[in-house]
Amino acid sequence: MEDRCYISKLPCTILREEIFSRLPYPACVACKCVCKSWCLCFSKLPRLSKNILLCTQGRNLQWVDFKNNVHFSFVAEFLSPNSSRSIMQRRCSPFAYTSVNSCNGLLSVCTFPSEDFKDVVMHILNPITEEYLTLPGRNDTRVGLHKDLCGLGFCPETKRFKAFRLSYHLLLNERNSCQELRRQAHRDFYQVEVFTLGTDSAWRNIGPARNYRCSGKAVWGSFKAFLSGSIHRLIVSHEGLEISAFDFEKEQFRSIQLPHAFDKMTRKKCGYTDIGVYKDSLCFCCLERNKVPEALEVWVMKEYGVAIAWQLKLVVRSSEESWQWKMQKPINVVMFFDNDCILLSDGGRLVLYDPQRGRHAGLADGTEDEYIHAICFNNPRFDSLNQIVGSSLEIFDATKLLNQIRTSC
Amino acid sequence: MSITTENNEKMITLMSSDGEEFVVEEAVAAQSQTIKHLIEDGCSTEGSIPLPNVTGRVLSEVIQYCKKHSSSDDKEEKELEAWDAEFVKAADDHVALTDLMMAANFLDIKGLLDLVAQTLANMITGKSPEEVRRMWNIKNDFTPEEAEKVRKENQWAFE
Repeated sequence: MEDRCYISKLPCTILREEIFSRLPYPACVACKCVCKSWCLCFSKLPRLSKNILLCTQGRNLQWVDFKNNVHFSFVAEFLSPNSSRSIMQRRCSPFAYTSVNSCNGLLSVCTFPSEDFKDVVMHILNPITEEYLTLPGRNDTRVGLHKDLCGLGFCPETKRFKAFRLSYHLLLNERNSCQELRRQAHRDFYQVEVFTLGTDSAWRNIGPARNYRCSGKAVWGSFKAFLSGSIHRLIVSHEGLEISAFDFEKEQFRSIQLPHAFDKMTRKKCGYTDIGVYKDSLCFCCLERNKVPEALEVWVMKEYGVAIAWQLKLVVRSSEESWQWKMQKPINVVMFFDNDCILLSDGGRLVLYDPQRGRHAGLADGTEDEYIHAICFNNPRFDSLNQIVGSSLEIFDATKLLNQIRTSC
Repeated sequence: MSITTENNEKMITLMSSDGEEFVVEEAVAAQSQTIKHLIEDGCSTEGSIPLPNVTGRVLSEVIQYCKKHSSSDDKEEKELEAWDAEFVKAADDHVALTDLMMAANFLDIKGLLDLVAQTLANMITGKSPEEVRRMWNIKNDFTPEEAEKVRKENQWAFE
């Protein structure tokens, strides 16, 4: 009797759905290493823990909506005709955020701690270990109008995470006229500050961003799409649309050209554009206004930074019977799956699109003022934030952060 | 074969895979969705309900659980929780928890299934793969190369 293995008698579905689904992450990984049959259970396991989903094999997806703190997890496999989709939803508190980006298993979230939106505070979260830390506030305590743009990146050479923020400050006093303010904005550049996690204890100002004037360039969207050691963002210059990249290693900006057809495009002409990451390449999505029939073009930059390497990857048409574009928000591709399906977000909704069948499937519907914020979260890390930042910053329980925000709202 | 007791409770007989018979109140047995459906379909009138997947030892544990849970109402939730914890602990000495789990799954008793599954999950949590193997006599059937591959894929978890 001693040599019998009782637990092996349990079928994979029971092991998976009843037992493994209750385990925290590290225990799941341990189970994967126990024996072959258990390991196989995991390759089919989308939901490993109560609220986190691993992006294993590029098929599974986790979606965190920080604004409503709604957490959805689902598997792309549901697109195959016979399987049913599994969506998990958890609704908690509102979360005032400005931007979220994901890099090597960490998320950065920016919040406005005060109601006047004067200061932006940047938090770094590890959703796997449910920890977060808050970076120090700005050095510049002058009264005035601040505007900040933040991002999180990783330096492959030093193996350090770095946060950066672009900020500008408009001096406000009673004598300022609007015209003066405008002039000031034309003259000034954004200041760039960098914070290396683990070595810095305050933001380092590395000077003005020469190609970022406070006005003159209409900028929208946030920094996202971390790739090749840089974080990216779409900007509109006088010349047209381009991608601005911040290299975390060199701590420099560079411009990346868009596909030729778009580089002369102004913000007005180009309807809803966004950037993202397709496998290991930068991708660019554009829905041109006034073009019939309406179609979303997805371009992929086959070789990083090489303008002629842009290739049209696919065209997604709005389909009358199942889904039509919502024309208020930029449309972007949140995630590309191995089976060529893509997950699209048009601000209000999340939609899965199967290019082979030309089929859409709605996954989530937001209301008019509920912006669904979907990001692709990859490469989960099981190490504590302590190992990344050392003892220089205090680490908190992420669930506490959410509770704090809930009580303050 | 259905018998009626003095207080007019309908009784039914369950038969385990090894031929043991258990006479229980219908309300107790009906905690199992599987049995409930069998009763509704009229399978119990012709005699005892055969449960070919469940041994007598396991079935007696299951019935213990069902009896407790059919007699308690919601107010006694705390007490019931404590009872559950004791029950699982005791059951572990008599039958393998995995057998209890299989039975709960087959008989479709959600509460019991959750209870046992959570207990098993708790037993796994915090253990290394080797400790898990030792706990349940699981054979490590990975070749060294395969083991290395799995470990590499998941190496952060061991750091």
